[in-house]
Amino acid sequence: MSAESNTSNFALSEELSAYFDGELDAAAEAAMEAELEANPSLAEQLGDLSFMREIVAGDLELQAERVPEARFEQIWDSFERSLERESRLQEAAEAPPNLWERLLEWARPLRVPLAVVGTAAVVALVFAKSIQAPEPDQGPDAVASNTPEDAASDQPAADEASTPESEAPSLSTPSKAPQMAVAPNPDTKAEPEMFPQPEPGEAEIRHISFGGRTGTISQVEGTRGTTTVIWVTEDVPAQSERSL
Amino acid sequence: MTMHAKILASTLASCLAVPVALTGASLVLLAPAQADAAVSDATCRIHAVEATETGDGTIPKDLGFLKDQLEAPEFARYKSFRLLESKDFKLTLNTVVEERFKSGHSVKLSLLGGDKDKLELSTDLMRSGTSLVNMNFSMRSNQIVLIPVRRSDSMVIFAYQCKAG
Repeated sequence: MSAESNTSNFALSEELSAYFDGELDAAAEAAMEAELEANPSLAEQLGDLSFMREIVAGDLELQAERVPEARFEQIWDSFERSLERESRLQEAAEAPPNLWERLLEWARPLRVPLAVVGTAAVVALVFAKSIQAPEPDQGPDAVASNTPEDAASDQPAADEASTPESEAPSLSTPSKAPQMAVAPNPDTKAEPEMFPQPEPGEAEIRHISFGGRTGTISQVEGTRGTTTVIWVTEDVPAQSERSL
Repeated sequence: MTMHAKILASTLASCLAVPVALTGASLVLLAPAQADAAVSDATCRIHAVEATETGDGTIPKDLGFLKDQLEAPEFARYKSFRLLESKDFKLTLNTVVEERFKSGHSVKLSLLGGDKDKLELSTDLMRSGTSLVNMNFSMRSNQIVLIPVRRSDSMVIFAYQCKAG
């Protein structure tokens, strides 16, 4: 067989395959049909091709028939789950903002008013604290202490002169010298603004002794309440002692 | 932003500010209460008041803080009152502070304990080195305790007033 004959047979086989697959145009197809009628060997090749297709297609269909119905359902369920998951992810990505996000969004332009309100609250707290704290400089209920007039006119008690143990400086120089002698510690000077108006109330006496004198414990009823009073008499030399 | 949204935001801000303010106020007000532990120092003021049986019964202005007590029937015998002096005692725990008064009396005072509202104290009121009254007592802050010392027709009233710190 010559090379030219082999080339012609190969080209004819290719054209037959194209005819079998329906890929030839009308003229080539008519020419191939004429060739098939004239060439029984070529017609036999076409029959072989048909037979091979039937075998392959039939095998695939047979395999498909062997797959159980349940398997198809599983595959379909898997498809559905995947679709649902994708759908949920898509919905979540497109979900509207929640309530807090919307409130924050609303409040964002009002940051300045919110800051003002917060500052006002802090100022109110500081103001309340300052009101609650005592004002040592301006206590309206402050008790009185020695005024200059008092200091100048301070005299011992009525019977002071008759007591030999009384302080000599206070008797001889009643102006300022006694005050310095009696109160050497500057911390002990009276500060009228330190104490507010005293409140009535009964003291609890744990122990008491009247050394060399008489004494009694009583409660004085005032208009504002009861005050504990310890009465002491110096004139009576008798001794009494009482412990509570 | 709509007007409705602005009103809603303002309302929300107010609702948030009120609890914050109340919480802060509570903290501020409660904080001192937590400090009511045992007291370690106190300040007392003792006023010496001379009372005599002659006078018109007028209570001077500088004794206004004792008016309620001095007008009680127990003091009706005395018609004149005069503040001789007031002395402050800076007390620390278990330390005796002594002050001498122009009346010739001296007072020893010490802090035994207590808390912010109630103080435990000890005092010894003396004259010429002799104790007239020695007592341990407790009293509330800013409460008054009176010790009148009678001598013939006059009297010197020692008014004790103390507070923590």
